[in-house]
Amino acid sequence: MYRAHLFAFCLCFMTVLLIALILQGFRQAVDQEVHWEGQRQLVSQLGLTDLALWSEARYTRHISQADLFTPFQNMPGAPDLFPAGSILPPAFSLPQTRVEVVRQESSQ
Amino acid sequence: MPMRALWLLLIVLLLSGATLSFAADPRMPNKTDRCPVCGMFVAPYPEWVATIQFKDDSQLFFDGAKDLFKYYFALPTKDDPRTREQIRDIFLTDYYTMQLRSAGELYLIRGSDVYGPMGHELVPVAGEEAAKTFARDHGSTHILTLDQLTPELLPED
Amino acid sequence: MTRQWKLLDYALASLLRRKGKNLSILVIYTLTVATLASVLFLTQSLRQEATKVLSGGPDLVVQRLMAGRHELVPLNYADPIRKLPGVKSVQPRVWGYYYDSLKKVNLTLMGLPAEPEILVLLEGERPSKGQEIAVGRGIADTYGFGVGDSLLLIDAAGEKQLYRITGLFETGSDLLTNDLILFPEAELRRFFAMPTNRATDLAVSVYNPREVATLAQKVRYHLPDSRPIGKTEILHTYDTVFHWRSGMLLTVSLAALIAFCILAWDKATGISADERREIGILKAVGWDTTDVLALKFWEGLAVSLVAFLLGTILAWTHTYVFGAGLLAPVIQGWSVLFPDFDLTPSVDLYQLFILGMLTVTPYIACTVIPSWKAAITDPDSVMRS
Repeated sequence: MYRAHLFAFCLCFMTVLLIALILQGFRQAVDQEVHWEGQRQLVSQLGLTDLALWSEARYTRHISQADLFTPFQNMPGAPDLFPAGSILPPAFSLPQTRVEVVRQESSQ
Repeated sequence: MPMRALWLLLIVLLLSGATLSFAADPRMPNKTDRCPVCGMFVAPYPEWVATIQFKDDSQLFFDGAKDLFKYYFALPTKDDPRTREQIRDIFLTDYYTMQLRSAGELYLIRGSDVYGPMGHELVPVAGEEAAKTFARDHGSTHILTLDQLTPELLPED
Repeated sequence: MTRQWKLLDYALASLLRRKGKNLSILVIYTLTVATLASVLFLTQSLRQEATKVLSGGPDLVVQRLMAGRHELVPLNYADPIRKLPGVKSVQPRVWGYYYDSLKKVNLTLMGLPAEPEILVLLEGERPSKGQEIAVGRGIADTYGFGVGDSLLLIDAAGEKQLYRITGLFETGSDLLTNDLILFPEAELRRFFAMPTNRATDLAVSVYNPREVATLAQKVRYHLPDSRPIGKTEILHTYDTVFHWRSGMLLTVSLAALIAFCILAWDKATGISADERREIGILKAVGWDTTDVLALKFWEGLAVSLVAFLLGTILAWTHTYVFGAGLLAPVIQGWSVLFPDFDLTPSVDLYQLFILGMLTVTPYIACTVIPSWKAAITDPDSVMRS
C-alpha cells in the first residue's frame, strides 16, 4: 500500500506540475500580447512579410514570397527541384561581396 | 467695432459648428453592445456595424444593415415606443472604406455573394461608381438607395 | 478499491524486480515523448509567433513576373491599383539580399520609406541621411559591433561604401529583424543600382479584409504579369510550414515515432519465459484472468504515465527554458544567422491529448495483450513450457 500511495502521489505531483506549467504558459502568452503588438507595429511599419529564420536562400528567407507561380519554381518542395534539391547542398559560385566592420574611434 | 463683431460671429459659428458635428458623430459600439434584433454582440464585426442615432443622443447598434432596417420598419414596437421621427440619423459602414457614413449617402446592394454575420445582407457602398463595381464584382444587379428601400426588399436570412 | 491499490502495489513491485529492463524502457519512452512534445511545442509556438506578428504585414503584396522569373515592378503599376475601390494605400518596397563571402552570411537589405518618423523597437536613431543604416541584433552579434560603428559594404558598381550604424533593433524582435539592414530608400536604390522608376514589389493595404481576395483578382486582371500574394496566403504559408504534420518537423517526429514503435513491438512480442511463468504461477495460486489483466494494465499504465508526464515536462523545459537548444540545429538547416528562440509557450491541448493517446494507449495494449494470451492458456502448460 505504501509504495502504491507514494507512486500515486508522484503521478499527481507531476500532473499538477504539468498543469501549472501549461497555465503559466497561457498567462505568459497573455503578457506577451503587448510585445506582439509592438512587433506587429514594426511589421506594418516596415512592411515585413516573413520571419527571419532561414537566411540560406531566397525561398527560405522569404517563404511566403517564393516563386510559387513561375515555371521553374524557386522554393523548397518544388516538384522540379525535388528530390535533387533535398539531397544536394547549395554549392554554387557565390558572390564575392563582403561585410567589414569599421569601429568608431571612442569604442576602441 | 464691426471687426470685433465679425470675430464674435466667427467664434460663435465655429463653436456651434463644433457642437453640431460633435452631436452628429456616432460613437462606435463597445464590447457589451448587442444587436436588438438578433441578440449578437456587435463589436466583433466592425465591417458590418450599423447604428440608429436618436435625437436624445442615444444609439442602437446592429450587426448589419438588414437587422437595422428590420428594426427601423417595425418602429414603434411595444418594447420600444420611439417613433421614426425621433431618429436623428442612421449610420452604416461603407463596405470599401470601413467607415460609418450616413445612410442617405450610401447605396445598398441586395443579393450579392458577400454574407454578413446574419447571412444575406444589404451591403452599404458609398458612391455610385463604387456601388456598380461592387455589384459587378459580387454577382448582384440590385442597387438601391435609402428611399427605394421597403420592408419587402429586405433580404431573407 | 483496496483491491486495485493492492494490485498497483504488486505491479510496482514486479516492475522493480526487473529494474534494469524497465528503467531502460522508461528512459527510452520518456525521451521519445520528450522529442515528440518538443517538436509539438516548438512548432506550435513558432506558428503562434508568426500568426500574431505577421498579421500586421501588408494585406497584399504585388510582385511582377517576367520571362518566368520575379522582376522589378515599374512604379506606375501602382496607379491602376490605387484606383480600385477599397484600396487604402500602395507602398513600393525596395529590398534585396547581400552576401558576405567571409562569414558566409546572407543579409536582407531593406529600404526604409520616408514614413514613419519613429520606428518601434529600435534602439538609437532611424537612418535618415545618405550613409546611415539600422541593423538587426543577429548581425551585430555575429560581427561584434554597436551603434556608432560603421560597415563597409560593396555596392553594385563594386565600390566600397561606408555606412554608419545609427540604430540597432531590440532583442525582442529577433525573429523578424535578425538579418535585416535598413537603409534610407534612396540610398539602397543607389547601392543596388536599381532604377528610380522601379521597386522590388508593391505593398497594398486594404480597408476591408473581406475584399482582399477580390482585389487580388482585379489586380491580376488589370496587370496580367503581376502576382498578388494576400496576407492570408502569407499566414497560411507559416501555418503549413510549422504544422506538426508537415515539413521537416514531421521527419524528426517520424524518427521518434518509429523508434517508439520498435520499442513497443519488442515489448509486445518479447514477453519473456520468466513473465510467462509468473503469470502461470499467479493463475495457479488462484488469481483470476481479470486480476492478471488488471495487474498488467497497472504495470503498463505506471510506465507509460510516468514516461508521458516526465517527457512532457522535459520537453517544456527544453523548449521554453533552454530555447529548444537541441532541436534548433535541426531546424536551422544551412542558415548561418539563426535567431535565438525566446518563445512564448503555446500549447494546443488537443495535440497534447493526441500525443498522450498515441503513446500511452499502444504501450498499454502491448503490455496487456500478450499477457492476456498467456493468462487464458492453462497454467500448467504455461509453467512447463
